[in-house]
Amino acid sequence: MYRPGNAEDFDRLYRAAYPRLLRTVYAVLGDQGAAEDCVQDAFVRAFQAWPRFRPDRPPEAWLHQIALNGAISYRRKMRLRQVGELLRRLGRPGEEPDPSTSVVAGEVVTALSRLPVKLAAAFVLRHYHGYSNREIAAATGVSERMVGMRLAQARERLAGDLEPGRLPNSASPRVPLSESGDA
Amino acid sequence: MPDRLVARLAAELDAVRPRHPRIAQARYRRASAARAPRRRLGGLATAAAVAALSLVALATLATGSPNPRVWTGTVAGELQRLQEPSPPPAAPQPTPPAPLGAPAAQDTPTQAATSAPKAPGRPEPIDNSRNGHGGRPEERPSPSPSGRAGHEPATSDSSPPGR
Repeated sequence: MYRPGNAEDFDRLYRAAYPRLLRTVYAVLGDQGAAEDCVQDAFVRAFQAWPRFRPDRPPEAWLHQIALNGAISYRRKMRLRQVGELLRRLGRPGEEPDPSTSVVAGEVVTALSRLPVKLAAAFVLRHYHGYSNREIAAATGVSERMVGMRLAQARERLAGDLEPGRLPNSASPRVPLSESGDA
Repeated sequence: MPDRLVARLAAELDAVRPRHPRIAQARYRRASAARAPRRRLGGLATAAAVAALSLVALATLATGSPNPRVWTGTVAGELQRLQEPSPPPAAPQPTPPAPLGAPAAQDTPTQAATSAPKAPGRPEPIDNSRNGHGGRPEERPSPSPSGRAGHEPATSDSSPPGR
């Protein structure tokens, strides 16, 4: 039982939830550095809201909601940045990312990171963390019916993406870590 | 397919090792530590504002005026009064006697009764021809030694001798 506003309880919550949150956001973004950045930001926001936390809510679902909102914002910023980068280097060859600062994502994570955040998050929460549809609904702020629809959509799209020959080589999708800290 | 997919997902996510799992490296810790001095300053400012408002309210209540000039005047007056040597305690003065010309106190009912004129039913007889004092009644010695005879009304002795 976590007491709202209690710093020691928040530390305990951090220790318990940080690895799980990191894996969820990593699956959604496909970039460990960006995922760590988002999760740390999520804990900062959660700590600010900690005195107002309602103990009847599952704390990890609450943290997931904050972290996934941060992931959605991060993706939007990254998309805008990619457009800016594309316009800046028009006519010039693109720079290859530094292999020493990149992390190779697996096939499934790469496919998940191409899905919309809400679909990918529902899939990871259901099939990796073992959340029920109700818990996913609490974490994502939608109805259980919507969660079921998102799960079905995610499964369908992943199955299509992971067909042999559809997905690029697992070694190719590299996301530079240097970009992850600017979100 | 789903089972395989889930197993692959689990394998990929389990391979992720958090690089900053320790609490000392958590960003919320640093953020809260950086915000602490600002929060302390904010608390001090709030306390100072509350103290100033309390003083203003107290001064307004004590002097009855919200004007700070009145407060300073009142404080200066009080200080001046405290610095002055206090006079020795005055002895209790006797009550002054009533002046001679002052009207007397109201008569008591008994006095009023004695000073009231006698009833006109029994007029005292006047005989100026016998004593020759011009209407002054003759004083008689009191038959009793107590001296109260003069106050007693004359009954049978009041008749003139020799009659």
